[in-house]
Amino acid sequence: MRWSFPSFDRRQRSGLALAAPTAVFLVIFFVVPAAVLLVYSFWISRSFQITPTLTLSNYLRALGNAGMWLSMWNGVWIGAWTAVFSVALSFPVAWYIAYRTRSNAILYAVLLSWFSSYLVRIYAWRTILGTSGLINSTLMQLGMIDQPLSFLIFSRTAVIVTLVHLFVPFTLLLLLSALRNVRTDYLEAARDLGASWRQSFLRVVVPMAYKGIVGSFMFTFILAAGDFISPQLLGGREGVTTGLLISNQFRQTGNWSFGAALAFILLGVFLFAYFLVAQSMRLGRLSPGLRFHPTLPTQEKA
Amino acid sequence: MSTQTLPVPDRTSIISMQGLEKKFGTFTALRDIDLDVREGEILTFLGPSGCGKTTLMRIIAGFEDPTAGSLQLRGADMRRLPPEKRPINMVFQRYALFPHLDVFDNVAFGLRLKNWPAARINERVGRMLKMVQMDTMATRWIHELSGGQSQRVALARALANEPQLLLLDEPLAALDLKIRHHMLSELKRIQRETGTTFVYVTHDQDEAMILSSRIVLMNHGRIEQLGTPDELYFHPVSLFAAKFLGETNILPAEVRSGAGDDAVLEGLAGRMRASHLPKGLADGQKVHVSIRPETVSLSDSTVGTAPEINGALAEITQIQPIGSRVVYTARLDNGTEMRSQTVRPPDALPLAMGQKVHLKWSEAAVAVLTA
Repeated sequence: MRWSFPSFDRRQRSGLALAAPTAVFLVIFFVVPAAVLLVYSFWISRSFQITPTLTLSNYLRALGNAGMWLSMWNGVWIGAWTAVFSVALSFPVAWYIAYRTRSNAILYAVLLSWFSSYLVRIYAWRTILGTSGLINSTLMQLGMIDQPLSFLIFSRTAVIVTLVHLFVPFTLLLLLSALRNVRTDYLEAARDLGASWRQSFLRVVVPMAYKGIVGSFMFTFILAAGDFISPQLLGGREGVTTGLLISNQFRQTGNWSFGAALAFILLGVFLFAYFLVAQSMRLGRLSPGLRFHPTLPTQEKA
Repeated sequence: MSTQTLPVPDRTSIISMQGLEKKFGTFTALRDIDLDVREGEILTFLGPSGCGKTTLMRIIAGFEDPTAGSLQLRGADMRRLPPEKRPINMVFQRYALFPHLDVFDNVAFGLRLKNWPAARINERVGRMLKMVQMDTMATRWIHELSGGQSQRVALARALANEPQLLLLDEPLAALDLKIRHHMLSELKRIQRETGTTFVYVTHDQDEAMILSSRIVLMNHGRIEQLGTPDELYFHPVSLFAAKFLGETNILPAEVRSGAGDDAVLEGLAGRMRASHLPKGLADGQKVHVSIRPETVSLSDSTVGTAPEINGALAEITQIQPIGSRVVYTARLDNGTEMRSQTVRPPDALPLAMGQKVHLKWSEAAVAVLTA
């Protein structure tokens, strides 16, 4: 008898065939390593040697350490402000590209910054923000300040400025594709029904572009909060983030188990942040799929 | 001539436009628009794409500003009023129902903006959904609706605000033929029930003829002709109007023997008299005549004699049965072709290809076109 999939029709089979390569890739390079890390986080390791002993000591050590909380706060602070500024700065640009112009020149100009490497851009910002950098020397020459502004470099501000520059193209692309789904006639319908600009923005644009807005915010937040290169090179004393600690555990100290535990704590923090964002959007009535009326008894199946 | 148009209950105008003009850069989309929208009527903007009908509707809605001319709502200047402040609502061509809200909340959208109490909103939304026969689907999401259902919800959402004027932008264009005919009679019923003035934009002459109290026929940004469906059909003022509405025979002709009521037209189909003549015809003036195929009758030429006026001798060159109708094409001696349309008989057709026939039409059937 010929072998076949009795339970899948043609459509489902082609769907499986299309999804299979990605699924296999994700299982091998994401699910398996993550599972291994999760197991490591409950074991003990020292100097790159791992001992399989079931323990919670890594988690307890991390959570009982004030420096750990401080680094977590640092990362969350950097991530949150980077995400806020990236979304806030790219939204008007995305709006302009989506509704006001037919040309994509601005989009390409913003995307052009991707053609330079991450490190090059960090060093570029160092020369702009540094003690004898562009901003400080200009202000001093103009006589507006006597001493270089010290908060410009080796601070969280410097990290946030650099990361915003890094992530604005991402948020712009995500917001633009979200706004492209909000056709002009939805905006016109809202105004036609009596909404002011502000009302149509809050009641139509934000809920309709919800995925793009929340998605780009969380995307930027997670990547920025977990980053360890910018904080290291531009953060100075304020640059110790959990991301940097994790990287140190894996590359220098060799305590993989502790590093893994930190990574999963960070994962928990990110999930909690997502929950907070989604919940506050819901409470602000900015999410799609909400009913604002007492749900009537469903009659359509009668 | 029978008049099937809706009675116009009130002659006072809601919207009044004078010398309205709209330019986009160097392109003039609308010019010299003088138009009144009367209380309680269904006024249709009809015309080919690019004729300016949509722009005119968007100006009334407030989405476009006219570059010149006056636009008044019951005597008050409307040009400065933003769309959200106008007592006008619109049914969009692609409905523009908010996908993040369910049917109920879509209809309640405008009422919530007015901060109505929940009980009043429930009552109004319930009444509107009942009117469009969607009351059992209040909790459906928009993506769960068919085209016809979306259409009904869009109508309920616009009418829930009790607008003084409802604009409908080609609302049936996205529906298939059967639903379209059903929705036309539904629109007419809802208009009667609510008494709301409708401005209806379409490029479909059948929709316009079925629905309208009056039709504004537009072409190249101008009003070509304004009148009841019957006036436009039987008394087109221009070649464009005659050709746009329905099938017709267009023949060049020349005015002869006086310019009064007894003027005779001489053309490719012989001599003609018309019962309705445009004013100011001059002897020798070149015009066109339009004769609808259904007003041209055919009869066997061996019976009786050829009519001397409003008729001709011809030979049948084509017979085309189309469902309930049959269209004959007949060629005159001078090569001119004219079409005649009759109801198709249940038995064999009485006339055959190549047969010599007498064509005949009445004076009322001849429309004289000076433009």
